[in-house]
Amino acid sequence: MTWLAQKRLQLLFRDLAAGAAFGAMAISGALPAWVVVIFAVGLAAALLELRLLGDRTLLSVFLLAASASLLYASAAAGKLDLVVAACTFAAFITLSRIHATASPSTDAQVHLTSLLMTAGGAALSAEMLFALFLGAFGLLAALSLGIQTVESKGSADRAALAPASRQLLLGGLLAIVGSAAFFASFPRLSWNLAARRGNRFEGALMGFAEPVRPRGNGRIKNNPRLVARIRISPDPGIGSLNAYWIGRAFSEFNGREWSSPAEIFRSSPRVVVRPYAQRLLHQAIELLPAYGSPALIAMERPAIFGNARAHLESGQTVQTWLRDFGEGHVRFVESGMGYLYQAYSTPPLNGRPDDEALDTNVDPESYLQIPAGLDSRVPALAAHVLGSETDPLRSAHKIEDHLKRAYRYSLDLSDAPDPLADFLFSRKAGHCEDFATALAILLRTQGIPTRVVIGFFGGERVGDQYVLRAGDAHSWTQVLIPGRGFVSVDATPEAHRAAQPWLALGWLTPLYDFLDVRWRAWVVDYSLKDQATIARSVVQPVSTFRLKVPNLNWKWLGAGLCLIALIVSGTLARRRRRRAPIHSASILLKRLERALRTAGLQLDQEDLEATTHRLLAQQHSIANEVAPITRRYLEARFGGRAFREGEASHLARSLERACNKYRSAHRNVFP
Amino acid sequence: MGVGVGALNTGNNLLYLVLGLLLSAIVVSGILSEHSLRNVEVRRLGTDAAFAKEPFAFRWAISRPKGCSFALTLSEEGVALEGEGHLAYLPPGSEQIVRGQLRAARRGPLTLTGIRISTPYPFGLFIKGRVVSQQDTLLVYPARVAVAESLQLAAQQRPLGEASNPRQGGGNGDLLDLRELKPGEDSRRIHWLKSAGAGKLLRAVREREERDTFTLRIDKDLPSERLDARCAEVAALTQRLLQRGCEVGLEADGQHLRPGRGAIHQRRILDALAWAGFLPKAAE
Repeated sequence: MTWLAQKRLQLLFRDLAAGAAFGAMAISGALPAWVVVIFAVGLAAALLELRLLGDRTLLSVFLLAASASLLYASAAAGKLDLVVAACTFAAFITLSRIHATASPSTDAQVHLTSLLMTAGGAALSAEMLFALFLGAFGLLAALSLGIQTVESKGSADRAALAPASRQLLLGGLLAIVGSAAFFASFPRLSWNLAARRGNRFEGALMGFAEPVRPRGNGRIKNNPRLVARIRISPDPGIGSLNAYWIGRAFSEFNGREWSSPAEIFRSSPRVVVRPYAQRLLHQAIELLPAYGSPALIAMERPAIFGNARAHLESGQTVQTWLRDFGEGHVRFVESGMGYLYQAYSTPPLNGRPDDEALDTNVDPESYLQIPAGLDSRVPALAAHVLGSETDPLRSAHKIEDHLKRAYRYSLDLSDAPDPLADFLFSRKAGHCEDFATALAILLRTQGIPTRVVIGFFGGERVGDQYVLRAGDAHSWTQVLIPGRGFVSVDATPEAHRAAQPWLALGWLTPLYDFLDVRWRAWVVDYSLKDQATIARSVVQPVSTFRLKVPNLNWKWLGAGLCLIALIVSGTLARRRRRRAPIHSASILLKRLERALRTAGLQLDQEDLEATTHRLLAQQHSIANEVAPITRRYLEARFGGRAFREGEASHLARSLERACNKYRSAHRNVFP
Repeated sequence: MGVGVGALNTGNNLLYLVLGLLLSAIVVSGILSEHSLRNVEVRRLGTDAAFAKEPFAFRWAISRPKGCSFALTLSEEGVALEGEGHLAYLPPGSEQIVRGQLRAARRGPLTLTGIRISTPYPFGLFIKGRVVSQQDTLLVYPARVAVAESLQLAAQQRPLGEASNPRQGGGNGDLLDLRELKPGEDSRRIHWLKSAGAGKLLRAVREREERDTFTLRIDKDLPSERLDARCAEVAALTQRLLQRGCEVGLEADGQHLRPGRGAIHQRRILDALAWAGFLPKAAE
C-alpha cells in the first residue's frame, strides 16, 4: 500500500469519526435542519476527496467568523439555544478543518473538535443512540490516530496495516469496555446529580390538551417510541397487560370534535379523582419527554394521584403539585420534560357492583348532549341495531358488536365536514376515535349517557416494568350504567387497539426497548446512590453474599456459548494450520543429538556437524556410524533430498543402538 | 480536562461516559505501547565515521521474535547525541536495520550506555519507551572545518630536514615508471635520456617519490573549546595535506604518530585528534 493510499485511509477514518461525532449531536434533533444539511454535504465532499478550503486560511477564518457572528446573533435574539449554537459552531470548525489541506495539525484539530461535538451531544441528548455514535467515534478515531502514528515514523507497507488495524480495533473495543468501568467507578462529586433524562428538543407525540377530532391523522399508531414506564404493585407478572390507561374524558361533541367544560379546582400535592375502596393497584409512573403533555394517566379507574416530581430542562428534579380539571383530568402544575408520580387505581373488577358503585355521583344529563344538525340516519341506525333492547350495557355491547362487524379499521383517512356521518354511512372505515365517537353518539341518541375517553391501551412488559408507546394511544367509550358508574366499552377491533408498529421494525422494537430501559437505568440515571449500592455489594462479606441468578433464557445462552466455542476452536484450528510443520530432518536431529549427549559424545554448544568432524578427527570408534547419518541429515534438511519412508527412524535407531553399545562398553565411565 | 470539568460541574452522566472513554483510551494506549515494546531485541551497529557538528548515519539492528511492533523510535540514551532513527513497522521474527541521523556537539569519545526504544503508538498521545543496556564507545572526530589561511600558507613552506633537501627533489630509490611531464612539474625530474629517445619530456617516477612531510603539533594545556577548534583545524589541514600527497604526522596530548599517508593513516590521525584531551594524564 502506498503512502498516498494510507493517507487516504487515515483521512477517511478521521472524517467518518467526525461524522459520528456530529451524529451524536444530530440525534438530539436540536440542531437546525440547515446545519445538518451543510455538515452532511461538507462531509460527503470530504469523503469524495474534495478539500474545498485547502490552504486558503483567510477564507476559512472569514467563514468561521461569519458563522460565529450569525450564531451569536441568533442566540442573542432567542432564536437559537446557546448550547445548540455552541455545538453548531463546533460542527463548523470541524468542517473547516476537514476541508483544509491534510496535515498532522489539522488532523489533531479535527479530532479535538470532534471530541467537542461528542461532548455537545452529551449535553443535548440522553438517547441510547448516543452510545452508538460515541462508540463509532472512538473506534474510527482510534484507527485514524493509529495509522497516522505509524505513518509518522515512515512509510509502512501493506503488511503493516492489517495487524495494526486489528490491534487498533481491539484497542478501541477495549477502550469502550474500559469506559464503562471508568463511568461506573468515577466518583459523582457534582452537586447536580440529575442529568437530562430525555431529549427536550423532540416534539411531543401526544396532546391531551387538544380536543379529540375524528378523521384526524392516525399515523401515531405506527410510532414505537416509549412515552411511559410503569412499575405496578402488586406486580401482575404477565407479559402484556392489555389495560386501558385513562388520560382524560370528554363529554361534549359539536359534530366535529370532542371537548370538556373547563372546570378548574385548586391545586394540591395529592388529588383524589373518585372515591375508592380498600383494594388499590399502585403504579409508579414515569412519563418520558415523548409523552409531551402535562396530563396524568393511570390504569383504568384511577382513584388517587400524588407524589409527583418534574424533570426540568435545567436538569433539576423538583416536586410539583397537581391540578384537577374534573372528568378525571389532572395536570402537573410545574412544566417539565418528564415526570414521575404515583397513581392508585381500582383494578378491573369483573362487574363486582360493590366497587363499581363508587362512580355514581355524576349527572347523567351531562353525557346526553347531541350535536346540533346530527344526521337523521344516526338515530335511525341506533334504533335499528338495538331493536327492543333497553338495558344500557347490553345496548352498548350490541352497537359495539355491530360496529366491529360492519366497519373496517383504517388509518388512511381524510378530513370530512361531518366526520361521524362520513364514517357511518360513506367510508365505513376509521380509527379508534371514529369508533369511539360513533358508539358514544349512537347510544346518546337512544338516551344512554356516554363519554369518550382518550389514553392508552396496552402495557408491554420490559424487564420488571411495563411500557407504553406512542402507538398505544387510544380512544374508547365509557357508558354510564345506573348504579355502576362508567363502564368502558370499546368498539375498535381488538387487533387495532394497541400500537401497530411496521413489520420491519417489529422485531427490533423489543430489543431496542430492552436496551433503552437498561441504558436509562444504568447510564442516564446512574448516580452516587447506585455507586454506593455497588460499593456495598462489593465489600459485602462473602458469607452473606448470595449470587442472584437472573431469569436467563437458557436456550439463547446455550446457543451463544456454542457459538463462542465454535469461534474459539475455529480460530485455534486456523492458527494451528498456519504454523509451519516441523521438518522430519529436525525431528531426526533431535533424536541424534539426544543419543550422542546420552553417550557423552556431544559437547555443550556443539552442533551435530562439529561433533562428527571432531569424532572423525579423533578416529573415534563411533565416528563411522555417525558420519553417514550426519551427511544424510544434511542432505535431507538442506539439500532437498527427502527421507524415504521410515528412513529417518531407521537412521535414528541405528545411531541410538551404536551409542548404547558405546555406552555399555564404557560403563565404568558413565554413572 | 475540559470534558472532566464539564462532567463534574454538570453531573451529566453522558459526559462522564465521554470522560470514561478518554481515560480508558489513555489506559489502552499504555497497554498497546507496552505490548509494542515487549521482547524487542536491539543491537547497536554503529557508524562508519562520526564528525562533530554534522549529522552522521548511525545504525541499529532490531528484531522481535513474536508479535509485531509499530512506530518505533531508536536513540542513544544518556549521551550528548541529537537525533534518532525511526521504524514504522517491525514484523515478527525478522531483523530490521534502522538508520538514524545523529549529531554530536563536540569531538571526543562518547560512552554509550544504552539504546532507548520508544513508541507513540497507538494514538500518538503519549510516548512510552524503555532502555536496552549496551555499553560501547563512539569516537567523534573533530568537526570538519575549512582550513585556516595561515595554516595553508605555513603548509606551503618547505619543511626542514632531509625531506626538504634539494638533492632529494627527484625522489630516491629504484626507477619505477616514466610518465609525461606535466606543466609546472620540476624540470629536475626529467629523465633526459629517455626523453630524448621518446621525443617528448618524460619524468621519472621513483620508488620513494618526492614528498613534503609534515608533523602537526597541538599545544598542550589548551582550554577545552580552543583545543576542539585546534583539533578541527589540524584535521582539516591533515585532510588537505594528504590530498596533496604529503605525509603527515601528529604530536598531540602525548600521542605521537609518525608521518604517513593514506586513508588508514588519516583515520589514525582523526582517532588521535578525537582522543586529544580525553586521555588520562601520564604521571609527570
